[in-house]
Amino acid sequence: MLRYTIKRILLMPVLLLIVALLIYLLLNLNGADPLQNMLPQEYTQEQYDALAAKYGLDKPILVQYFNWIKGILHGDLGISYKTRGPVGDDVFYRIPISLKVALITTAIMLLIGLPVGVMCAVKQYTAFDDITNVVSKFLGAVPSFWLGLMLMIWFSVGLGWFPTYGIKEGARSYVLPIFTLLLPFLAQFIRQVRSAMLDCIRQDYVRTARSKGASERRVIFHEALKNAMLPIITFAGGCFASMIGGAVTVEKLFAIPGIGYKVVEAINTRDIPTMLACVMFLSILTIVVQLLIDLSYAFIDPRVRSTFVSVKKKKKAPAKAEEVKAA
Amino acid sequence: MSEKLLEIKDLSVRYTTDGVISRAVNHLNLDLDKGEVLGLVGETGAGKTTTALTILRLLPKYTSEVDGEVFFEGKDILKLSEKEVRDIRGQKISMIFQDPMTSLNPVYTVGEQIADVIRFHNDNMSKAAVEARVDEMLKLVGIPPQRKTEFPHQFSGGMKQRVMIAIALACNPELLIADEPTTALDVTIQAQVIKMMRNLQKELNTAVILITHDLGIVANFCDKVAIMYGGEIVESGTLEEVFDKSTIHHPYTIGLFGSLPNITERTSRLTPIMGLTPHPSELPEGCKFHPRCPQCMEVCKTGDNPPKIDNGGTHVIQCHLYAEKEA
Amino acid sequence: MSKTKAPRLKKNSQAAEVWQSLIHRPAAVIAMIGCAIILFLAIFADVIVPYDVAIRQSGKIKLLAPMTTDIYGKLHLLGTDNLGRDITARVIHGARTAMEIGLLSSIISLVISTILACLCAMLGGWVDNIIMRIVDVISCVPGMVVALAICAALGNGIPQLLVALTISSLPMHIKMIRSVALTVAKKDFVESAVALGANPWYIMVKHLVPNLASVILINGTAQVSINIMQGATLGFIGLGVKAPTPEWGTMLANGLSYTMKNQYMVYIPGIVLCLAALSINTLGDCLRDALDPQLKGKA
Repeated sequence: MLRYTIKRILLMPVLLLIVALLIYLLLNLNGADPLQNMLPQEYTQEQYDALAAKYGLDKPILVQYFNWIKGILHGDLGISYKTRGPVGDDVFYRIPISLKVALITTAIMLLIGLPVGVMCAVKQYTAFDDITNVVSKFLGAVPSFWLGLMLMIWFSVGLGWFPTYGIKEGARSYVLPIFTLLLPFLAQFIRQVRSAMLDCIRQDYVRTARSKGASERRVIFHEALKNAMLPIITFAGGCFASMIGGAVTVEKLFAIPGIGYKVVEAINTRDIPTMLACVMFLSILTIVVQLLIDLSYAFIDPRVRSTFVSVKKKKKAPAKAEEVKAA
Repeated sequence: MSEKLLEIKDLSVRYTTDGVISRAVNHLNLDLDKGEVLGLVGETGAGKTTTALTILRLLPKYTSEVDGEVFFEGKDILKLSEKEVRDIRGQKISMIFQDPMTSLNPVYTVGEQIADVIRFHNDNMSKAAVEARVDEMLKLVGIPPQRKTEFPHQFSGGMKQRVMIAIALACNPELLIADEPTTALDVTIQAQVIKMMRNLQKELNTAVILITHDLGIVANFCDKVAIMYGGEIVESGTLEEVFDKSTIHHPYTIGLFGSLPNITERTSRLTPIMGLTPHPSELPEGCKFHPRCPQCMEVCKTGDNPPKIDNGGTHVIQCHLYAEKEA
Repeated sequence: MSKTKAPRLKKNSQAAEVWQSLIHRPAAVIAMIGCAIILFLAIFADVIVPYDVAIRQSGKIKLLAPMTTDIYGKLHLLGTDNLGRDITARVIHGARTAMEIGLLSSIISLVISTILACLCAMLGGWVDNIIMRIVDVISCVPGMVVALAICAALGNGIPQLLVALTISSLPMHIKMIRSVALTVAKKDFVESAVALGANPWYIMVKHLVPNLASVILINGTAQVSINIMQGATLGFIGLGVKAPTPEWGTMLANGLSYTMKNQYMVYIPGIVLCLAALSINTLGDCLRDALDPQLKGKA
C-alpha cells in the first residue's frame, strides 16, 4: 500500500508537467499576444522587443516552457504579466482564502448532508423523504451565480445583513459566499447519501444483521453506513476539489480574492504564468484528493485492501482496484 | 400433545409494488414441534421465502401487508413489539439465507460477525467468553478458528455458508430457518453442508424449517414435508406419507416427482409440469394450480380453494380430485 | 378479488415499457411538458419571433419593465434590456442557444466517450492504457477550469463552447461507461460471441452498446442540464457565446449592473434557467427510475 502511495505521488510531477504543457500550447493557440495588454497605446518595436525579452516571450513556446520548468525547480513561479509582480506572492496569498472557503463549505455539507441523507433513506416513503427530495431537486437546479445574486439582493442589499462584496468584514463577509457555494452541492450530496444508503439497506447482509437481532440503529450505522461510505467519500472528495476550482462564479460575484477568481482574470488577460500557477495548484489538489479517496477505499473496504497487498505479486493491481470499485 | 414450538394460522402476505398487488402467501397453516425438521418445498415464487421472513418479521415495512397469526412458544410474533422481536431473532429463531456470497457484510471480519450475534443476546458476557464462543462455533462448522480475522471475500461460497450456519447457531436457537441454504453452492459442497447441518441438528436438537426445491435434500433431512404452490400448502404430511408412491397425492406433487429422474425405472424422458409458475400478482381463481393441472375439472376453475382432504395420519391434500372420490 | 388483467406478456419493447412507466408519474409528465416547451421554443424560435427582434437595439425603448407598451405601441411581455432589446424574444432565442449548447455537446461527448470506452473495454491492452492515461491527465484539472481554458484559447462562439464543454465532460463519461462496459464485456453472451468469431465492431454495436444504453441515456440527460448550466456560467463570466447571441447566462451578466432598479433583468433569465434545469433533471431522474428498477425504492 505504501508502495502504491509512493508510486502515485511520484507520478504526480509527470502529470503536472503534461498539464502545464497543454496549458502552454492551449493559451498560445489563438495567437493572442499578452504583450499587447502591457504596452502603452502606441509603442515602438524596440519597446516591444525589450518587453518580450524581459518576459522571455521572444523565444519559441517550448523553450519558454522549459524555462518555466527551470524556474519552478528554483522555486520561482515567474512574473505575472498583469501585476508585474512575482506570481508566487499573489497565488500564495489567495490559496488560504480559497481553501478556507472550500473547507468550511465541505464541513457544513458533511454535517448537514450526512444525517439528512441517512434519514431520507431510513424514512423512505415518508413526508420527510419526499419534502427533502423536492427541496434538493429545486436547489440542484439553481445555478450558483444566480443563487448568489439573489442572496446578495435579498440579504445584503435588501436587509443589509452582510456586506455585498470583498472580505474586509471578517466572518460576516464569508457567510453569503459559503452559503451560495454550499446549497447546490448540499442538494446533490443529500441525494447521493440517500441513494448510497438505500443501496446498502437493501443488501442481503443487512437482512442478515436484522435476523441476528441487531437494533435498527446498529443496522443503519454499523452495517449499512460503513458500506455506503465508499460512494459518499468519493462524492464528497469530488465536491471539495470542485469547490476550489469551480468557485469561479461565486468568487467573482462576491469579489473574494481566491484562486478561482484569479483563474478567470489570468485567462482574460492571457497572464500565462499566473494561470499556470493556479492550474498547478488546482491539479495538485485534485490529484491529492483523488489519492486520499483511493486510500480511504482501502481503509474501509477489505476487498480493495487485498488488491493493494497483491501489488507486490501482480503489477496489474490498480486496474483490479478499479474493477472492485465499479462493482 | 405438548405445546407446539411454532404454529402458523391463516397467514396471508401481500406485497404492493407500484400499485400491483402480489399475493405471495395465502391462508397458510403450518405447525412444528421441538426438534422437528420440516421441509418446505416448491418452485420459485411459491411464497416459501416470504413465509420464512414473516416468521422473523423481516418483511419490508412499507410494501407488505400481513394477516394471520404466527405463534412461537405460545406468543404471537406478529403482535410483539420491535424490541421483543429483536430478542427472538438470532437467539430463539435464526435464519440462514440463500446466497452466502451477499449475506455476510464485506467490511467486517468473519469473527466480528459471529461475535455480534452472541453479544446482542448476552449483554454481560466478557470479551474473552465471546471470543471463546466464536472459536467454538467455527470449530463446530469445520473452520479453523484462526481464520476468524479474515474477511468474507477470502472465503469460498461453501465456507461462507458455514460461517452463516455458525452465526445462526451461535445462540442455540430453538428454531433454525434455512432458506435454500445450498442452492448457490456446488453439488459436492451442497452434500457437505447438508450433512453438517443434519449432524448439528441432531446434536443440538434444533427444530428446522428447510426451504428448498430439491426433493433429494428433503428425503435426506426432513421429518415432515409441506409442498407449497401459489402461496398455499397444497399437500403436507410426514416424509413417508408424502414420498409414498402407493397413496394419493396432489397433482402438483405428482408433477414434482415426475420431474425427477428415476434410476429404477427406465423412461426415455422426464415428465415436466406444463406451463410456468404464475406470478403472485396474477394468481388464477379457484385452485391456483388448475391451469397447469393435468387432471383439471370444472370445479377447480372457480370459487374458493379446494377442500382439504385428510388422508389418514397427518397427510393432508388440498384438491377437488379426492373430495369427489370421497363423496 | 377478480383478476381481469391480461397476463403480463413481454410483448412490448423496453422503450414502450419505459414510456408507460413515465406517463404514470405526475412528476415525469410535468418534466416532459417542461422539456417539450423548451424544445418547442428552441425549434420554432424563428417562427414565434424573428431573430432580428432578439438582437435589435434601440435606445428609445431601453429598460422597459415587463408588461409595458413602448412608444411604438408594442407590448413587451417581459420588458426590454439596457440596449432596448425585447427580453421575451431573447428568452425564446436563448432557449435555442441553450439547447444547441446543452444537447449538442452532450450528444457529441457521449458518442465519443461511448466509442472510446467500448474500445477500452473490448481491446484492453495498450489502447485502454493510452486512452485512460489521457483521461487521467484531463481529469486532474477541474472540469470548469478545462472549459475556461479552452474557451479562452478558442475565443467566443457556440462551436468553441461545444468543444470546451465536450472535452471537459469527456473524462467522467469515459470512466463511467468504461466501467459498465467492462462488466458487460465479461458477460457470457459477449464471450460466446467472441468464441464464435464475431468481429469486434459487430460485438460492440450488437452487444455492448445496447447494454450500455441505459447508462448512456441517464448520464446524457444529466449532462444536458449540467452543460446548459456550464454554458450559462461561462457566458456569465464573459467567455461563452459571441456578444449579440441571446443566451441566458450572458443576459444575467448584463443585468448585473441593473440589479438595483431593474431587477427583472436578473430575475427572468435566472428563473428560466432554473425551470429548464429542473425539468431536465426531473426527467432524468424519472428516466433512471424507469430504466433501472433496481434503483427505485423497494426497501
